[in-house]
Order: sequence, then structure tokens, then C-alpha cells
Amino acid sequence: MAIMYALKSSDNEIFEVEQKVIEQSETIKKMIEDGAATGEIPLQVSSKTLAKVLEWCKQRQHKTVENENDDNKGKRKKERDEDDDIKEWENKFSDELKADKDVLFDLLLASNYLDLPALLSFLCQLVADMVAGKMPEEIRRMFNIENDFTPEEEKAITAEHGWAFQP
Amino acid sequence: MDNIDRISDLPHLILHHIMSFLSFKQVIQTSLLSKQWQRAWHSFPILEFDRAVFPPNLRFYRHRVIDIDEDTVIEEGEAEGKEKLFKLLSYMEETLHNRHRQMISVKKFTLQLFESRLKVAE
Repeated sequence: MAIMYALKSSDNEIFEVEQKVIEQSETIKKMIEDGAATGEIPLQVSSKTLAKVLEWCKQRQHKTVENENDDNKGKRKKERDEDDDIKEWENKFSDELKADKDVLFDLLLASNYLDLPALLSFLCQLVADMVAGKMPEEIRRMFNIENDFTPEEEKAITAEHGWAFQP
Repeated sequence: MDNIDRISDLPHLILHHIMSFLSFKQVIQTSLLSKQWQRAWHSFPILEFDRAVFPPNLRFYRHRVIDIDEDTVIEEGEAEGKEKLFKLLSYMEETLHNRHRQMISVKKFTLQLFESRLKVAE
């Protein structure tokens, strides 16, 4: 029987999760090791975000377990198929986040707080891909960034960094 | 979608992580987004002055300048190249000074001038 833990979101929703799944989070792993995790583990993460975090962790856990159970026979083809499956899953996961940037940023902060390096890296790469090749004005529009420079300041920065905008 | 700027509220550590996946030229461009991003750039510890920063066509100038003597007339194009090269070099110097002043330990420094490549990692 797998050991289960109960995670409590900031809006008081309970999530029952296998220890192996949730131990990917270094923060929670430490709490468990320190014996601080008796009963419900309260987290500063909303239920909506926590559900997404767990979606990610379960997918990762699934991947690790299958790799451990593999014998060498037929492994290559299986690995290829699995890689395709994971890619497909990740693309779907990315598309959902791109469509709802609020969830994306909640998830970024949660992955930082829960110390999930793989998820944090994945999300940072995703944001970088969204930004790559775009000019400042486009990026500002995409993320509602307010240009808080005065025209004079902007002029000075453009003079300093102007070369970076030349092809 | 509401109109709140969520990305700029991220801790610098996360912004730096995002920036580490961008080309160095674009990292510099992000400093123009807002003051928050300008601050994030000023503490960014990965400095890659590579071919994208020093384009190989500046190399032409370099060879000519070595040959320069009093009789050589610098053509307009070359004078521009010289100005550009000096501007880039002083920009790089200022960037390094800036990190030094803030006592930020640079994680990666790349300098690629023409065909040479110098890499220092800390």
C-alpha cells in the first residue's frame, strides 16, 4: 500500500496524494523528513494551482516508474513511444498555460515555493519561448507590462543599449 | 484576462531563470521593458559577449586598422566600424564594472572577438 499524504490548499481543499508523487517537492519532502507533516500539510497554494502542480508531478512520477520497470528488451521502441507521449502531454500542458497566463504565473510561484526544479525550468523555458524574437512593445502588450520610464529615461537607455536592437 | 502585470512581480531569481533561456542580445533588450526589468538585467550574472554582439563583419575593420599608417585613408564604412567596435567594448567594460560594484558574482562570462573565444566560468 502506497503511503498517502493529505495536502491542504490555501482555500482549504484537501488533496490525497501518494508520498512518491509529492516527494518531488523538496519543500514537502523536508517537511515529511522533519516529521512536521502529520495529518494535513497546509500549503500556501490555491486549489486551482495545486491541482496543476499535482498534474505535473503525477506525469513525472509515471515516467520515472515506467523507466525503472523497463528491461532492455524492446526498450528502445518503447522509449521512443513514451517520449512522443510525454511531448504530446507537455505540449497540451503548455498550451493550456499560454491560454491562461494567470495560471502560468501562479504555477511559476508555486514551483518556486515548493522547490520543484524540473517544473520551474519547464515554465521558465515556456515563458522564454513566448518572449523570444519579440520586440519590447510586443512583450509589454503580451504581459501587460507598464512602461514606467519617462521619455527622457527611455531615450537614455536606447542610446546605451541601442546596438542590441540592430540586426 | 485581467490587465495585471504578473510577470514583473516575479522574484529576480525567476526572471533570471527565464532570461537564461534567451539570447544575450534579447536579455539586454528586456531591460527596456520597465524599471523592474532594468533592475533584473543589472543583476543578471550571465554575460555572453559572443558573435551576436560582436558581429564577424567587424573583423574587416580590425585587419585594416593594424595596417593603418599615416597615408591610409579611413573610408567612411571603416570609421563606422571603428566607432561601433569601441562602443561595444566600452559597453562590455561598463557592464562588468557594474556587476563588480554590486559585488555580484558572474556565473558565466563569454568573450568572442572575431575568431577567438575566451570563456571564463566561476
